Amino acid sequence: MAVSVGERAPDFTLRDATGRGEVKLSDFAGRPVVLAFYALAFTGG
Amino acid sequence: MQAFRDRQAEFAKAGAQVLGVSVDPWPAAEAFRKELGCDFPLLGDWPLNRVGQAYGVYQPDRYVHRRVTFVLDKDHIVRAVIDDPRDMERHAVEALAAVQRLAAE
Repeated sequence: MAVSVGERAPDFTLRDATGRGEVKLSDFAGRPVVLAFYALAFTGG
Repeated sequence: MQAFRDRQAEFAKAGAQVLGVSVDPWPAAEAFRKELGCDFPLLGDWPLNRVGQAYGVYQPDRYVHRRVTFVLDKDHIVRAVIDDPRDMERHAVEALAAVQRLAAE
């Protein structure tokens, strides 16, 4: 089941664009976030 | 993610941070970001798909995430979910409308 409206979004940590640093959801605390899941790079997603 | 790229200035104007997430390793996600010209990060949820699993969008039978967009308010409470496997344009249009509503609150 997907996370639904009204729930707190789970925090996460992923590798950044350099591969050396990290991006966390909590880095954007205080700001609205649009989290868009898509299938694969270089596809129509 | 093209539909989000096409509206990136409007998302920024509404004060929203866009983050794209796929199962790609980070170099592929970053190469795709550069090719599209996105000014927001595309993040690789590789190799364990943990973020997709935490959000309930990972499809173990297909090894990729479903196309689902979550709009979070400034407290990171989910305020809108766009779940449409085909129409990515709709994802960007509805997410932009949602963040513009949040900005007006």
